[in-house]
Order: sequence, then C-alpha cells, then structure tokens
Amino acid sequence: MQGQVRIENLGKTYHARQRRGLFKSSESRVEALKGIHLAIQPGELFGLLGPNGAGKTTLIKCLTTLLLPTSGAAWVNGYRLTEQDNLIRATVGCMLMGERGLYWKLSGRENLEFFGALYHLMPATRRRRAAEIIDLLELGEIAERAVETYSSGQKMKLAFGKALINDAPLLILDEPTNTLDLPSARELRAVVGALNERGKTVIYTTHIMSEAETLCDRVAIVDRGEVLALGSVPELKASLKREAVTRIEGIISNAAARAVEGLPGVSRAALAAVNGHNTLTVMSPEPRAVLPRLIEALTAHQAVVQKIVPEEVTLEDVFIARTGRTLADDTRVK
Amino acid sequence: MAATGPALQGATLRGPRAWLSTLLAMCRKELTIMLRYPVELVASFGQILLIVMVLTLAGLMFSPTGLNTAADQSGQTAGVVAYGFVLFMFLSDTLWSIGYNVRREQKQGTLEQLYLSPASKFASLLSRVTVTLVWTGAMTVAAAGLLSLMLGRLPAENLPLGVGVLALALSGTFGTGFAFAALTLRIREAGQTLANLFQFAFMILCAPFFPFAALPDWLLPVSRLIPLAHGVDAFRSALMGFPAGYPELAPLALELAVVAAFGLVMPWLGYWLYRREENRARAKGSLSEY
Repeated sequence: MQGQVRIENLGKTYHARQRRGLFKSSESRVEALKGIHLAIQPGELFGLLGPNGAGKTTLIKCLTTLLLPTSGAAWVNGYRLTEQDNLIRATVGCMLMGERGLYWKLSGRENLEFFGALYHLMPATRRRRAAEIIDLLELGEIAERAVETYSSGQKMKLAFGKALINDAPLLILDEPTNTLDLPSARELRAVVGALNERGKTVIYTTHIMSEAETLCDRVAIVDRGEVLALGSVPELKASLKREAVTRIEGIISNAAARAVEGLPGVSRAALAAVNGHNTLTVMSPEPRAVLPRLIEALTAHQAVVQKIVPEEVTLEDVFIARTGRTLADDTRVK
Repeated sequence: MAATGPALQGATLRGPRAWLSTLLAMCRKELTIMLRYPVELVASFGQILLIVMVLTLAGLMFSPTGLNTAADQSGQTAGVVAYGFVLFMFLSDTLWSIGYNVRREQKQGTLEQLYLSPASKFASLLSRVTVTLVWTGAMTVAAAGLLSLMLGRLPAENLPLGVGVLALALSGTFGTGFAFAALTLRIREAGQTLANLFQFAFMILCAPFFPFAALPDWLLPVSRLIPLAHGVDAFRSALMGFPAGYPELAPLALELAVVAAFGLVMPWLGYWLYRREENRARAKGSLSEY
C-alpha cells in the first residue's frame, strides 16, 4: 500500500479512570479506532465523514503525533509515526480545535508570526508568510487587533491560516467550517479547493455530508472507530444503485419510524430532527410499491406527514444504509 | 529540519539557530501576554514590596528601640532574612509558575498546538523560566532595595561565590519547576494546592526566614537531606562573610558539592520527568484536557 499517508491496522484504545469516592476508582475502556487501513495519495482531497464521536479526530490526532496509537503503524509524508514524529510535525499543516488553538491576548498577525517561529521560519519569512495568509483570507482589517475581540468565525479563519504558516505539502483540517456562517464556510471551502489544485494533499474531516460531496475526491465514511465505506463520491453512491431514497417530513415518532423500518420492501429507515421537524429517510429497492404501506404505517402511529419527496442518493444515505443512523447522531461513548 | 512547502524552500533556520530563534519567540510571546495584563503586573509588584515591609516591621518587635538600632545590632539577622527571601521568591515563583503556565495552555488548547509543531519542548519550558527569571529578578532587586532602605546596607561579602551559589541553586530550582510542571500535567488544578504545601514545607525545612539553629533538633536531619537547604545556607553564609556558626548544616565544601550536583542534575531530571509525563498525556489524549 503506497501513498502520502499510509495507515495500517491503526488502533487506539483509551483507558479512563473514574473516581468513586476518596480511595475507590474504576477503569473503563473505549476502543476509539479499530484497525484502520487507509492510503491517501499525493494531491488528493480526502474526506473523513462521520457523526460526532466516530473516531475522526482521534485518527487525525494520531496522524499529527498528538496521540500515541495503541496498535498498528502509519507513515505520513514518508516518515514513520512514533519514530520520526518531529519530521512529521515539520511537514504537516494542521487545523485542530479551531479557535481554542490561538493566543487570544495576541493579535492575529502576532499569532501567525509566533507559529511561524515554531516551524523555524526565518524572521523575515515569518513576516512575509503572515502577510500572505492575511491577504489570502482577507483578514487585513482585523490583523492588528487582539484575537479576543474577534468573532467566532474570524477566529476560525485565523486558525485555518495558522495551519498554512509552514506551507506544508499535507494539510489536515478537522471540521474547519464549524461555527462559520454559510458565506464564510463557502469561501473557506473555495480556498481549500484552490490549495488542493495547487498540489496540496488535504485530509478534511466533517460531519456535513454536502461538504464532503462537493469538495472531496475520495471519502472514507467512519463510524465507531471503523471505516465503513471508502471510495469516490460517485462510487459510494453507486454502491446504493439499487436503492431509492424517499424523504418524509412531518411530526413522526420513533415508534412510527420503527414500524416503517419493519415493513416488507424497506431496507432502512432513519429518523433525524432538523429545524424542529422530523425527517424520515426511507430506502427501498421498490419505492412505488412500498409507498401506500408506508403511509398506512405512519398514519397508524399518529404521524403528521407534511411532505413526501423522492430524492437522489446522497453520502448520508450511504451512511444510513450501513449503520441505520443519520450523521446527526452523536455516537460518542459517554 | 525544514518545512517543505515550495514557497519556503531555504527559508528555515536549522540547528542551534532554529532552537534559539524558537526560544526567543516564545519568550517574546510570554512577555507580550504578561504586559497585556497591566493591572496584574503592577499589583504583583506592589504586593512583594508590601510583604517585605510586613516582614521587616514584624522583625522590629525584637528591636523596640527602632530601625537604626535594629540594623546595627542585627545586620546578621537582616542578612539571614533578606537572602533567604531572595531564594524563597525564586522558588515560590518557579515551583508553581512553570506548571501554572503549562496548565493554562493545556486548558486554552494552545499546548496541543505547540505539540503540532517541531518546536523544542525544552525551549518551551525554558521560555517560561526565562520570563520568571526576569520578572522575579526585578522584584528581588526592588525588595532588596526596600530592605536596605529600612534596615541599612545589607552585608555583601564574597559576592562572586554568593552569585555562583545562587546560580546553581536557581538552576536546580528550575529543574524542580520542570518536575512540578510534569506533575501538573497529571494532577491539574490540584497542582496549586500541592505547590502551596511544598512552599510552606520549604519555609520551614530550608529556613529562609530564620537560622537553621531555630529548628528543633529532630528536624535538622530532614533539612540536611534537602539540597536546596544547603543552597540557602551556603548563599547567605557567603554573603554575610561566614560569621561564627555559619554555614550551619555542613562544611562549606560539602555544601558547595551538594548545591553543584543539585544545579547540574535537577534540570535534566526535571526535563526527563516532564517528557515522561508528556508521553503519558499523549497516550491518554489529555494534552488539551480541561
């Protein structure tokens, strides 16, 4: 298996100690990554898609040397994880934890120049690079202000800029559009796309299906520490070719959703709450035949149906087909 | 080691220059942040001067005839207290401030950002020490000035030897600070309480504000086991010109050997402990934990 990033059977298990009284404690064990295999090619824009708690950030933290894996091996930019960590750090630009990774008492420019120094850039280069990033992300008006006065979106932009400071060949971005408004998110995705076109390899984690669909060359769908599906967006959608997707909006209870999933001809049904409304996604190889039975089952469970829409297969449907859950579900182990 | 982006080819520093440049950038960052809290800065300075005044005025109860008499009769006592106070200030600052700094960045999330870069972790710890050194140094000079003003000129014999002992004791103290930073990564906020406990233990066992002769006999063997106690003893004995009975804990040669070993070994031991704890945090995923 070759690639700019190679991951072989990578596993990570957390051991957490819970205090119970002054002298008593109990230990719990959480398997966050279960034998991940991946290869990411140079110049690829690779998406890691999964719900909160799927293991995306744990994987990113392992690849950026912040976390020590429990098992397996990985190579980043040709350097072996845990053996050549400093070489990996020098050749990766990473955006992790967004605004929390900045010094709020320093200005935007001071932050960028400081992080440039951590990558051993010469003082003049630091200043030039900081100015380039400020221009690229249109941060000029706020660059001299303390970060504590920035809006959440401006902080995210600056955190993204920080990941560019060492002009690394590999960019790892962990949910970079979190807390951004729609236009800012669109702008940031455009910058990511442009950087990728200029040859940068990008690993982009998200739980927003449309982001992965519009941006990524290939996507790995991750859930509960495992890669469930891997391929280009058309390949992943084609894996559900025989299924059709119907979305039903309205007031729908969990019991009604379970009743629908039990109907003959329905392969999957998943309920998600969006903007106060419930959306039931139903997959079936024969949607027309199933529709009357479906309405009957919903009505029997006092559901109020407002809209029934046949839809194109999306990456979220691929996720639903594999897990029976939606990307909005939080799968973190409590 | 270089970032390999095409725009930065040949624009990175290497070797000791890279290390030094990182250290300077970190020190500048610490100082800039410190200067952006002006009220805290002024208050902490004022607080030290007030503590010095309280201690000196309390000492006057043993010399009811006044300040001048106190200075004449007990220049030795003033020296014991003043020079002990210097070491106490550095110890209390380094013991907690390095750990506090690391903990603050752990909570903020910036500690994790530091670990994303190839920057030297030793330079990171050292930058926190450097700022402490400058700041505590300035406060010490001000405190010593105030003491001289209140009690007259402090004894200052054997200055080169005194400075040498102080440098070695500080080096060891910073090593202790690194070890404490390691402990803080593990026990988090409890580190502050533990630091207070250590400070009070130091105030008794290393006798910075009174002669060792004031300690009960059963505590003296414990003091002799603490390298920093020998540092306090050798430092003030040297500056007071070795009056009768000083140094109190051991012959000077032995005290110097203990202080030298403490100053040379402790920074590396402290750093080793810090790296060990940092690896544990990387295994647990707690580098950015609240």
